[in-house]
Amino acid sequence: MTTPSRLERNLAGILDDLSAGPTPGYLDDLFLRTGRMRQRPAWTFPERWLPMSDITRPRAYAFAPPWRTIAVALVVLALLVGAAFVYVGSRQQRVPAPFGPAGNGLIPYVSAGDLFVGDPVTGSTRLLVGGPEDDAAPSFSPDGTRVAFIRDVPGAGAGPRPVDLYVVRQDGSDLRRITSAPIQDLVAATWTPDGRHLAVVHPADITNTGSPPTNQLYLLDATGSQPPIRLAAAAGLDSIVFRPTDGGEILFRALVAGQYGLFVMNVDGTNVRTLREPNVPTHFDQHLDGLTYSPDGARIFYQSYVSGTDGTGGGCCQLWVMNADGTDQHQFVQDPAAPNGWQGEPAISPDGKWIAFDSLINDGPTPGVAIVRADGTGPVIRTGPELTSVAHWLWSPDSSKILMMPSEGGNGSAYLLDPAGGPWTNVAWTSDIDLDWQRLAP
Amino acid sequence: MDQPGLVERARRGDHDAFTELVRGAATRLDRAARLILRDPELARDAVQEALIRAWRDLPGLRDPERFDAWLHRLTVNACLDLARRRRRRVIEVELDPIDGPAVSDVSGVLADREVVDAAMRRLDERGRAIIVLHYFLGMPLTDVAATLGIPIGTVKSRLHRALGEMRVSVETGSSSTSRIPGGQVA
Repeated sequence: MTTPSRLERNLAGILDDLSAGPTPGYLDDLFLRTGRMRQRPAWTFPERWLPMSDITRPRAYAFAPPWRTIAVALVVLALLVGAAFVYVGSRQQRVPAPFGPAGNGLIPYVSAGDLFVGDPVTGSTRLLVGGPEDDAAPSFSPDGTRVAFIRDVPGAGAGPRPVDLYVVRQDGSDLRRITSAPIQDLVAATWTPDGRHLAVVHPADITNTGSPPTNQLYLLDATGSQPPIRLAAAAGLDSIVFRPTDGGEILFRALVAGQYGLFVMNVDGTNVRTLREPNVPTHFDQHLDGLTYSPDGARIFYQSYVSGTDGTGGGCCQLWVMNADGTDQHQFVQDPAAPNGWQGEPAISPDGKWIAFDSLINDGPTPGVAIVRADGTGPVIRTGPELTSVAHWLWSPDSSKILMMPSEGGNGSAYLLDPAGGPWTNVAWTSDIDLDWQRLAP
Repeated sequence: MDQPGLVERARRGDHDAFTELVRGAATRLDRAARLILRDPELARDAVQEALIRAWRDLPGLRDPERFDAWLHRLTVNACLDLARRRRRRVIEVELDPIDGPAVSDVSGVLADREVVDAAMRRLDERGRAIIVLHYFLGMPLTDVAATLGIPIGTVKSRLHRALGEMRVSVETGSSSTSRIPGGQVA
């Protein structure tokens, strides 16, 4: 048996003394930032809005042979590698549709401000973009050949952190900045289905701290060589989703008279229609968030505020669904295990058969991600480890797995979940919370 | 309003409730971050990052009663993330071997705040994080394990190791300066 040493007995007091100081003076700046920030910003989940597609196949890396010092073997190896590149190159001509199921490719991830890609089958990883800069939010283009990401602009001081957007080829070459100037307070960013642009949303004037800010929707040329195309501007415009199967319409949320509504417009910014009348105040900023189309573009899943039935004023949120034209709006399912719990964050499998969603059990731990058939029938399946906080997830392109990452701060290993509720595993690397998955030609 | 009530309001997007919650916790978090990172500027960045993440992810917090523990976890993890980033850009000072002489106590030396301060600086961030969570924030070791996402056995071994390093550092600092009468190994 041991007894506390004097060091241990006095450590709390000494630490208290060591850390004494004034009240932090940065809180007002912080509240200014959070006051302009939605909870669960949509741009961190671009994969929920836009399924990725790909024309490549994973490269098969040859292990370094132990007899590599033999010159003849090196020559043979070089020939084999050359032949493999020719073979792989010939396979890159296949172009899948931008929506729907596809083959599983690499998983991009962020570690200590650098970008990597990992193979979830072999566990191998490689650096995609390194250097002293802080990079984040990698997202594969619909054709799988490029990765878009954001890079912090250093020395910005307090206030919304400015970022630049970059695009790099999947092999790490041809790095291009596509923003002509840093974007302050990026709200949303996602690839267009044709892969030619990135749709970005940011405030029109960050010096205007009034509420709500007017946000602009731009298309940035993915090569960085053409000027931006301004599509729309609206108060509180944030979440944006391109409608399958041709990407010809953009679904978005915006504020009218201080209340959230759901709208759709043509991809050129014309013909704006209302899908859900604005009637919920900004206090419930997750109302009409978590937007996702079914792969056939016929339905929209979303989170909805519900009015109270007992005079308490209601709350947010339940998981709802509507037809793409705004008709037949109704609650999608009610998880019997969480009759009064928060439900949302829907992610539909690329094959269109299943919905994974967040169904929180208020009075206890939540046993994993909830999954139900896309038609709402059948039992709610729980898969994955017990969740103690928010988690983010997306489906594998072939719909066989769910990539899930708890969001509790710090790095960890993302989970690979079995949608049928079977055992789960972890990927072989640790990363920050950003999630994406490269799609391959089926 | 009590804290669980404020948490519930903040979870529903009430900025005023979040502000009240944060004002009550910010000083404690800032002090903990400064102890872990030993750098006021980095500590400020870590706390801001943690609080922004808290606002963003608050709707996912299941149990309002665990708000403080959750906030501590976000802050400590933000500190460790920043420390990792910082390590990429600086040359680290190599730590002394941890297998130093066994020192059972350092009575008399503890009055020297500077010596303990120097001892803390010689720990790595993970060691300091465990010390801060357990001794400064008063967390039980089981909660420290949950906060850092490591097994309780690992917490105990790291704590033992960190305290051992601190004792060696304190003793070394004491014998090299001999400023404190009676500062002898028990």
